[in-house]
Amino acid sequence: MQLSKIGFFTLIIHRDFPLERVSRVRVKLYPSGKIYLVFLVVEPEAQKEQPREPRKAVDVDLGIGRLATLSDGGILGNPRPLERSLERIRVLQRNLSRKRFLSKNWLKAKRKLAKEHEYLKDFRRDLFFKLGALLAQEYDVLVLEDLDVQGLIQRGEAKRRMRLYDSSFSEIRRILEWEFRKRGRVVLAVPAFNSSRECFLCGEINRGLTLEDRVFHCPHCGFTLDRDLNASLVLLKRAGWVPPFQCACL
Amino acid sequence: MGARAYKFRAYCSKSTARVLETQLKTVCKLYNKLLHAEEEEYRNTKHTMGENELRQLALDLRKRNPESGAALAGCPAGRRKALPGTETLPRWFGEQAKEKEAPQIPLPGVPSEWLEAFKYQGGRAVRKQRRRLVCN
Repeated sequence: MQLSKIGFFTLIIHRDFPLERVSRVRVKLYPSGKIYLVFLVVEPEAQKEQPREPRKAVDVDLGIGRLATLSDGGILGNPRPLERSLERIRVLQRNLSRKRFLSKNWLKAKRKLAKEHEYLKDFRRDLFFKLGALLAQEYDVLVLEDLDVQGLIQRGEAKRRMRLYDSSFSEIRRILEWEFRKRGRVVLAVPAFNSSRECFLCGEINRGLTLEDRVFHCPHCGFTLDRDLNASLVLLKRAGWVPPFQCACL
Repeated sequence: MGARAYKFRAYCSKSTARVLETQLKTVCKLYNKLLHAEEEEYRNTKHTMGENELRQLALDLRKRNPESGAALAGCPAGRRKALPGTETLPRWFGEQAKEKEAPQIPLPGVPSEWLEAFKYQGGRAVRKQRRRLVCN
């Protein structure tokens, strides 16, 4: 492909798209030096998937230990990409700070560091998109907790704050919403207040529950369940959905 | 009408990448300058600027500060269209570049050799000369 006044670019077209309907082409240059071309294609309304009658609902409870706990009992562990590659990033950052500013080696080190950060970003997005596609294929309604992520981060300690940033709740929520809406499914956001402390069975609040308690035990009715699973079921209940009896928890 | 974006990785030669990088940086710098001026204008007059006014502002900026003109002196016409309100500028910039050498653009974070590669060298004429060299 040739862009006037810039030059020739080689593209690997891994997906077919209607060239005649391209309305805009955008060139993106990332700090790692990678170049991307984005073609914006105008789609007619008929191509969109029609919404169908909602039958199955799922709730996604977000957390640090487990990134997502589904109301059907499914669990997605938190890969903690930033924490895992923090040592490498530290080394790269140190290398960069020891180079002479704006020298060739400084630029090389900067590019290396940018590449590492870009890898983390891509890893996260890829994981979220895969989760979103998997859920959107199976379920018709997605229930999400309406978290105040910024508030959580501001309240947390340094280590917890980093993990919250690493988990990127807002990003996962945005991607899941997009995946569902693209397929014409319904997305509901319910308030997350006391969702972990509320008993799914009797609706009472367990005030003594702390972050260290990973199993929820209701002092009123004696109901015991995994903390995250209980929270996801409570959220589903708040959304007005009655889970089926063959649910994994019962 | 909906829209869908298709994103593909592009590969190019080092020189093309350099040109792209410098072009993006220059456009970014000029855009920021205009934005800053627009904000300043709003702070003073409490009035949001339209497209025509923005165009006029670009011309005023050029008169007030030769650097802002120099920011576009070396860039080809196609790039100038990327900025709203700068369509009227290309002729002047082209002429200036031919007459005298454009002053160095103080771009933080850009090595001098990149700027050297980015200097306006007469566009087509240079390319023709290169072709001749290859033929000989």
